[in-house]
Amino acid sequence: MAQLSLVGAIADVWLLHTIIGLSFGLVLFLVASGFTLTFGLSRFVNLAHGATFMVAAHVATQLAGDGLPFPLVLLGATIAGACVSLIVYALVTTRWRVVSGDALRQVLFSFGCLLIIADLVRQRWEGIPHLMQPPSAFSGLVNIGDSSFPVYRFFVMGMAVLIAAAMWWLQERTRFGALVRAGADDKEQLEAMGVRPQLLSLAVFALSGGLAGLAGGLAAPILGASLGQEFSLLIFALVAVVIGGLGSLSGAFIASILVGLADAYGKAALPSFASFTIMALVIVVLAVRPGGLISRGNLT
Amino acid sequence: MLEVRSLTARYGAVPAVRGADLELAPGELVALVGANSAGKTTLLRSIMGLHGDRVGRIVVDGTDVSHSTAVGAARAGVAIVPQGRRLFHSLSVEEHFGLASGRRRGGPISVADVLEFFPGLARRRSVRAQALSGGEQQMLAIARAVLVGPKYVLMDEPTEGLAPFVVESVTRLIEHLPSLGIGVLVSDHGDGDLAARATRMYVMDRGAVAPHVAAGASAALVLDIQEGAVQ
Repeated sequence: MAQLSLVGAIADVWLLHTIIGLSFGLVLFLVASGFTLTFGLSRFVNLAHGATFMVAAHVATQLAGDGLPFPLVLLGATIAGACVSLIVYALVTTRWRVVSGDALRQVLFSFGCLLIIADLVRQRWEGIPHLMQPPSAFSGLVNIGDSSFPVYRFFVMGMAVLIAAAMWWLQERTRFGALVRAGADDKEQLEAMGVRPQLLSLAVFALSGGLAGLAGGLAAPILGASLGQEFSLLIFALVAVVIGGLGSLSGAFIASILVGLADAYGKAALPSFASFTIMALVIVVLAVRPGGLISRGNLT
Repeated sequence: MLEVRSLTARYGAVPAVRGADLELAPGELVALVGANSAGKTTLLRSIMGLHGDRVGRIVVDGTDVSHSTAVGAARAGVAIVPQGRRLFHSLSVEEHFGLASGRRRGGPISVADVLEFFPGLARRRSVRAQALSGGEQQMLAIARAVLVGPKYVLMDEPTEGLAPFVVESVTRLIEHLPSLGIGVLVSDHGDGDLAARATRMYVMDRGAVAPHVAAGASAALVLDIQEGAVQ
């Protein structure tokens, strides 16, 4: 009997870490998908995407603190994310001749944007970490074995799955999605059909920023809003994008969940090597599939 | 009228097209004949606005597109069937049709018309472009260009490397386009099949373009061009 309950307790612990990993992975997908979309269409490596998430997390925490209802908080975070992304887009556009086709310059450029945005956030919110209160409807706890687990995490998972489904629909079933995929496949031929790629890029930057913003708002009651987030989230998202295959939405989805789980299991089993576990995942995946899990194959 | 005047296009310091003059009227089928590396592809890409390093004048029905991007040329009424097909690999045949015809209704040629010429594509509508055979890809590349509703279509060796029966249906569609008032400029280097059916012909050699007087060129001329005898 004692052995059985021990096995049960261990199973509960792993279940707990699986849920933690899944919920983090799904939030990560919202960030990684935006990154991979802008790269796929515009061939732009947008490292400022991490800062977009952080700004939205701060805006959401602020709005929730001001007493706004939860749906409006999420809306505010989404809009904030889209705005940050559009500002980055405007800056990139003015310097497009300089950064076009040169990944190193893009990295330096967008990293500069990230640092500036992070510093503006530091000035505005004084660099103090905040944790947003989850909405009262989801503030309860679920018991899993001996531990209890916030209901809010399940809400976040459900929302992220819904958004992922909506994005699949947008990409595969709408004219906008077809235009975005066509632009990622062969932008020149899309222009030769009379489609202005600037408008499409603008829309994709706004969408990608909105997704990161929504992720920042959704995750604010779990991850909080703090400085340093812009890097930590960015690194996880980059890992997911690389593992999934640059430019692939479905790849980003699978990879984000893998990264979330690897991170959660790593922290549980080998706490002192936690940051190593996701890098080990990168090494293993890229050794077997150098182009990522789902390689678009035509990225040059 | 599509008019090209003194068009020069370069790759770095090397001119690939040197002072080209040509005209294409609506409803005309004009051939652009020349050996490989004569500059045909660069000329067509320059007219379309896809080759940035160019000088000269390009006017489409009175609209000057000399300094326009491909979007400008496309909106003025020019379309291209590029070398290597250049389809959107992740899009299905149907999605190519949808993007090309856009929200526009009642162009001179409809999806149904295209499928009459290319019945093979009708059975492959949900298939992604990368899974199509070479012949199907070429048919789709032509369909994509004409469904946009252009007044002038530039075709870069559209029958190159195709099976004879595909060449036949592609040629039938190309010959049909002028009857809809569409001007077609088709480049060709080999068997002269399309060149022989053209109303007029330009000969291109080492970047220079010259009109060839005798219409419906003979296979002998094409052979001369291949051997570099025509200057």
